[in-house]
Amino acid sequence: MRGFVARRLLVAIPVVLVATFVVFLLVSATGDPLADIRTQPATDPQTVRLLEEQYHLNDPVVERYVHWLGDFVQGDWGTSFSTDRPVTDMIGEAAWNSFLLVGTTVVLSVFVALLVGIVSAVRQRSAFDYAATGFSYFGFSMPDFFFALLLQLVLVVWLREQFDVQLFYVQGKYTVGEEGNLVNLVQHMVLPVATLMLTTVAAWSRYQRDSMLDVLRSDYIRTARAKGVPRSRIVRHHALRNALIPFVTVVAIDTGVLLGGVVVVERIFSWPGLGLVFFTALERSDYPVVLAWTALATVFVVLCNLVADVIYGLLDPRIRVSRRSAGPSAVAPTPAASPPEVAAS
Amino acid sequence: MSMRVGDESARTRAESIDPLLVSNEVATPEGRSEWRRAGRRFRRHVPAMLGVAVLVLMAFACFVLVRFVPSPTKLHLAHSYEHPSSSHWFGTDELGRDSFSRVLHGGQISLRIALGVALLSTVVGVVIGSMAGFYGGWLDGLLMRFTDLWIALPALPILALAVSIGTVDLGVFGGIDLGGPLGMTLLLSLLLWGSIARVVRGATLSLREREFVDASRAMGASNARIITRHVLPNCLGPIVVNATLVVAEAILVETTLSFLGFGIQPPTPSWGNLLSDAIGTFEDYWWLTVFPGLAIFVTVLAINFVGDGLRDAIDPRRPVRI
Amino acid sequence: MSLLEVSGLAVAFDTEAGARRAVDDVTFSVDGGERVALVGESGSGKTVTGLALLGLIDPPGRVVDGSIRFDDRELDGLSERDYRTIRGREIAMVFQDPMTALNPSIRIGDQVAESVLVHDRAATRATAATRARDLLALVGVSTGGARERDYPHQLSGGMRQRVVLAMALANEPRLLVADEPTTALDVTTQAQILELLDHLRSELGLALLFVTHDLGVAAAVADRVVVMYAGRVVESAAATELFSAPRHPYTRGLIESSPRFGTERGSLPAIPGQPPGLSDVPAGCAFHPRCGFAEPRCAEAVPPLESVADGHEVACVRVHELPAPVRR
Repeated sequence: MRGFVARRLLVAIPVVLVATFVVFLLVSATGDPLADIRTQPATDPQTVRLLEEQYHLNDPVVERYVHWLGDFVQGDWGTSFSTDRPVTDMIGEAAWNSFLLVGTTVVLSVFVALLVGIVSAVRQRSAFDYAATGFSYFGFSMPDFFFALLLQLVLVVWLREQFDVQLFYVQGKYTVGEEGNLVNLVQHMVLPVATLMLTTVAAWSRYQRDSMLDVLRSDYIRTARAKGVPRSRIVRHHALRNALIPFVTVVAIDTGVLLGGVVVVERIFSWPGLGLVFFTALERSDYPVVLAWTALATVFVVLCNLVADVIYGLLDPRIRVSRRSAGPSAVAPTPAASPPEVAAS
Repeated sequence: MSMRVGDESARTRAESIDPLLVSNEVATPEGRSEWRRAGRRFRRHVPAMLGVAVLVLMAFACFVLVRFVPSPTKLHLAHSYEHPSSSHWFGTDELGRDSFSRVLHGGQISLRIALGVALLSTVVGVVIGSMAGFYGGWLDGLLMRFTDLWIALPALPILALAVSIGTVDLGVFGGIDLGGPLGMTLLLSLLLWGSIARVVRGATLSLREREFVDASRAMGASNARIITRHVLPNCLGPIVVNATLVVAEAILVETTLSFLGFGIQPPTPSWGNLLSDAIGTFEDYWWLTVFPGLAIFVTVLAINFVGDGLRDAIDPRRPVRI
Repeated sequence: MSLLEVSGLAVAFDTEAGARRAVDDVTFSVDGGERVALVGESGSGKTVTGLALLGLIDPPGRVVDGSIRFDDRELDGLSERDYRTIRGREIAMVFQDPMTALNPSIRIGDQVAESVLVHDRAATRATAATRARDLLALVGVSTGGARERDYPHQLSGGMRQRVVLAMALANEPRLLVADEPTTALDVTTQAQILELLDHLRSELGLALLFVTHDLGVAAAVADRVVVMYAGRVVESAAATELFSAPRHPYTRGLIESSPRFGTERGSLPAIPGQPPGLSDVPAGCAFHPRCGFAEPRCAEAVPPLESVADGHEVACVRVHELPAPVRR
């Protein structure tokens, strides 16, 4: 188990390095970060030279990257060009807000997806299963931004015009003057979280259903039935235990992916999170912010993958407990589906 | 790379047709009669046939019908913000431009990009996947770990960053605007090859051990020849299914980017930027957002149906869905 | 009165081309303490028959006809709830592949203990765990090194099959259905498991229904043999009688093509052709296209099982015309 995690870590480090370097190259390619400052007539040439010095702008790109990486690892992420605030502060604040959205989404989605996935697997081909399948197709095919607009159209505009009520808000985190009001916060969070949940629930419930079906079709479930184990216990004790392993892994990985999805939602709902910081910085060529942001996002994704691997290792005894009799344990991936035996011998 | 969570399930789906996980045998139909049987199963798959019908209609509208509608850039300031009517099916926008025409032209751009991406990323995925599967060992481990993480990277911010570079000079190919249709196709292809690579790797791994591969190796065939002549034709099924799903994915990523303002730039219409044009006024002029949005949704849904139908047809051992 | 009486059993599967019978009109019985082998090639319906006894036929399959009487009680049509009291307590089953028959994420001791807990209301976790340890010792999984705390992947195939056996024997069932329990094992382990099985059977006095494709194994374990072909019983007789004087052309072919029973060294005449699939069972006697004695009338109607000697039944219209087999 320890060796397993160590091996994964060993691959993760070069991946982070390569990814951040690519990002670094991309950022350098977007042009001269000081272009705005240079063209301002009031700028002192001395200031420009100092800035060039500070960001090593005249060095070759590899050297610049090494400098930046050194600073980044030590927690010195520089100062924003556009706000003059330390990048750490800007990102820290926004990260908390994004975490609020992503965390809520993950918790709610796990709950709903597990429920939907398990019920539709246990009652395969029932009306519920078909409805869940239909919903999944809807979720897979609906672009988030369009769904967000539809939600606004129905839940905000239509409600306001027909009933003159404002249940949900579409801008920011709080209404001005209501800061700290929990109810107001929830009213602001409902639509962005619902938008994010559309895809996560569609994907995860589908995943849980398929993994549950695979398990239910496996030989050891038949063994348990032949022992006389009641169906409810088979589902809870034998099937769920094995079907949850891949599910938890996918949730961990997808939490990293959600960070990419949250930028769209934050932009639409003007949510003061990481996505908003990123796009504002990108539009203003705010070089230190963009760099730190993308590097962090990459690290976060790699971390989520690592967590997924560790969880998998912890949950699956085939990895956690090494083999006693045979040689090195062959790591078995998700439970393989045994094809349904129609013409069994 | 993936744009949204659904893509991890694209990964799941890729795995679910990954022959290695289904059984030790490659699920691809071998031989002509198998393909014919798969074709019959596909034609019986109701949602898939529905999807095909929708796609044919959509393609007809975006590539043929589009020549017979008013120009998408023709201004009629006197007719701004007209409701949908018999003369303007999808209404008109602020400048009196015909929205139906703009949706069709936008669709042409979005579909072209998506098809291009499916083609290119399949090539990239096949090369990487077959190398990993065929040579195995540390190369396989490295390539697949890399693919795993690549699939999970936050695609939208990185793409937005790349697009904001603007035009890059590619030497003999001349300058390419990364925010233009061609640049978009290239960028997305570089990002969406992951699921195909996985599938091809899985299929290659299991095929590598089969007798006909040994036989041709004994006859002195080169690795490249074995891969192109024996391995790839035998995992054609999973490749086609995945390429189909990449089309859906590419449409979603491109329209999202264009919606955010980091993709196709106006006045060139794309389904994504049509929506972002209209977002400020969507409360009053719903038709400007609803029609392009529906176009994306319906197209992607149809592609997903077709993809599932293809998978069920190729691998009948999986229970038929829907 | 036999312990188990199966009569006219038919199991159908829904396929793309409509419902097809994998098992049709199967009749046989097992007496208390008796060892019966159900022999057939893959696809002959023998596993499906075994599963049907435990009510484990899942959609797209279903029992469409016949009766299964166990201890004078009709099992077919029993509710899932009532069937659970039979499974694992009265009739237990051991499956073919020990590598997949155990739950990978539950310790083997707990899996054995579960068999006890499910049926014995008086059992506590502690008593069930003790019983599980005893059972594992009984089947030869040494418990000295706290093996009951192992996960299945830590055991070899033979050891896993012993665990499966321990689970099956937990409630001292009266009938054990063993579906090719040694096919997936190597030859040495195979012999050990067969020996263990027979030892336990005589010790616990249970009846054994042994499902196999291997005539050699059938000869080694069974008092009586039931031969199946394409979902039907074609011959059934006492083991000694069947191997020395087989009457059905299919049984003869099987015996002649088996190295242990073949007449001449060096030449093993194989039965020509392949057994039919579920959807292309020939009309009449399903074996007639491969049969050296076939006549046009063989394709007309399914031959009924008829008694040719005491306890010896054959389904062949030409059974009395065929040259008598050489007694060996």
